[in-house]
Amino acid sequence: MLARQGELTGLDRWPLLREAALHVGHPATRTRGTVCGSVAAGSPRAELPAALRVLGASYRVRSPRGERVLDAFPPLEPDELLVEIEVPPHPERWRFFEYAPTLGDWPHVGVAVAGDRIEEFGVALGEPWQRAMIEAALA
Amino acid sequence: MKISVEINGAAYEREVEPRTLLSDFIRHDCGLTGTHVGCEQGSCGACTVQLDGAPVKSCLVLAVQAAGRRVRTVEGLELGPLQRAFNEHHALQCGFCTPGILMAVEPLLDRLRDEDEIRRALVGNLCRCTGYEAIVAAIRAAAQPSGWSELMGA
Repeated sequence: MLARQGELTGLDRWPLLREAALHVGHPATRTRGTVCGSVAAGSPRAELPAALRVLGASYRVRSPRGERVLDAFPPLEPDELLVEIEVPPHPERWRFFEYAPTLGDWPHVGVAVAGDRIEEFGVALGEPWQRAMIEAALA
Repeated sequence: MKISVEINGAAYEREVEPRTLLSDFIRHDCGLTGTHVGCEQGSCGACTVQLDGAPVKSCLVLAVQAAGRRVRTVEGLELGPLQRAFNEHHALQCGFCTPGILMAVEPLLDRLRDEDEIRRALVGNLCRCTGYEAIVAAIRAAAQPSGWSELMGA
């Protein structure tokens, strides 16, 4: 069980998560920021949600009404808390790239690839036609 | 609420509001002004301290979150190779960012193998004076005291 973003940067088993985490904030913020927090914040520019999506993660959500496990991560209800993320075994093929004006800043654009799944994040490549273009280029 | 925080080996018991930042607690409530406050939003790194040994930006931690835990500020950093290297390489000018840089880098020193890793370790600390070159050179010298600095022309 890992909680902090900084714990991901020492991971050998999930190199994609490791690489993505190295682009999240700064060393001194990664010791505090949590992985579930990155996901729950729901930013379309964030690295970890994109990496977790291509890895096919599932999300355990808890509320006073009980628990549910989600395959994708839609917005939470106000009384729900994301408590656990389960990540299946890492595919052999993976890539992570992002462009940010300064290391540690929010990226303008980024891409995470694992196996045959690809996910762009950031603001510049959000259009469906751009997604098709990228997928064609990477095929 | 009443909290007790161990700072540099001494226990500080104070009455704080739940919203009090650790950075303000350290400076205003405990009088330890070596920790500097720049942006108060986690960008500049001037307020970096160590919480249970790990670097944190103290403006992003509430004082109550540090209750019962161990904080180390620049006043608790014994004089050693890192500060000596900063002196020798002229790695500070106004010095405002220096305490944060020292506290951010010190726990990582033995893991920084090359310039790229040093620069990655510094991304959370802004310096508006030096242009970073002297800081990188100082950290390089401190991280590899046995000969590597000469090798790299630092």
